[in-house]
Amino acid sequence: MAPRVVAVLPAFNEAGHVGKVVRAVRPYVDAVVVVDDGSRDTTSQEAREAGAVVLRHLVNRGAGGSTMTGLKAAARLGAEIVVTLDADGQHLPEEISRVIAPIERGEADFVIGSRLLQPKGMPRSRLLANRVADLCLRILFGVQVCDSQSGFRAQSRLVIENIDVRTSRFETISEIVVEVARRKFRVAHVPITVIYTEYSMSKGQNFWVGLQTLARLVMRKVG
Amino acid sequence: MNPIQIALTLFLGIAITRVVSAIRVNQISWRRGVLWIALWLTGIFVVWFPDTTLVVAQIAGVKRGVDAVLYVSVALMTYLIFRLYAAIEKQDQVITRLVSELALRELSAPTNRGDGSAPSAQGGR
Repeated sequence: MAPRVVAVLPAFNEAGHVGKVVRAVRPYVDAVVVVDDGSRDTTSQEAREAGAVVLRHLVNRGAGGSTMTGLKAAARLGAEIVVTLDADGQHLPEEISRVIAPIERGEADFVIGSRLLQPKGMPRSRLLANRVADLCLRILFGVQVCDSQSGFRAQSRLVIENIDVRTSRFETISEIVVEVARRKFRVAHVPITVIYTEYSMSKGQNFWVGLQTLARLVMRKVG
Repeated sequence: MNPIQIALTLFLGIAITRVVSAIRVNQISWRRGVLWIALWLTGIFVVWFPDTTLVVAQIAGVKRGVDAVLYVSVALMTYLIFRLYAAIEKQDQVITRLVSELALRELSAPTNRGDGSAPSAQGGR
């Protein structure tokens, strides 16, 4: 039987973490797809051993590119709902049921697991950066969401089949939200918990990457 | 004739030969090639007849010809950088699409079994 809920984990050099995350996620979904984004370590091997379907990017294309590959793979595997999580273990798999619930109930097509709805424990720099990112999205595209940069999301198959994404780096995360709004899909927000570790903090966007992301979004707007 | 005129003429001359080579091997279109050659020839003309820039300066309301050249150059460079950036972004998108399609082929690999029915790929939901 085709899987109904598929989890997608974009991963780049996540050896030592991805296996644990796949094992933790599996009880909550029908299948796990790991997109190894050109890692130079044993990410693919660990993910496969943990029971994931593994796809490998021959060269690194960024978080957005690997997310889109994962979404397409999940759709081809027959998924009706696809949930994306970070492979560094910062998201709690037990919250998957809550994140996909609005789609299961038929109330939404796209769900953002928002860190900003319950920001307790979130580093101030991250809180500020994410609020600025939301503001930029609102100014540039007129889209108002809470935590546009969250990697913990759920989307229906309909969304995956209808969005047209042109970028491939971190800005894809925003572009998906823009596309969802443009196509008038229903968006829901669910508060999520995020575990901030030194490791997960080192993997996210820094100030410079944030500026590059903004520049690419501006290009997307004018291009 | 001064050294800077000779150096700039040589540089622009080399640029023209590069454009001609690019047209010959169909690297760029005739139309684009002619535009580039016209630009470089204008450069050579300005190098040898710098006073002509005064005409442009007067039309644009700038005092000195050299200022007019600088303003036009900066505007042109900015435009070219934008075009270059857009072209690189487009290439980037093509590469991503290619890499993604190649990765998706792995869905039918025996290790993945493609339909998600492989015991190793099954979740516990």
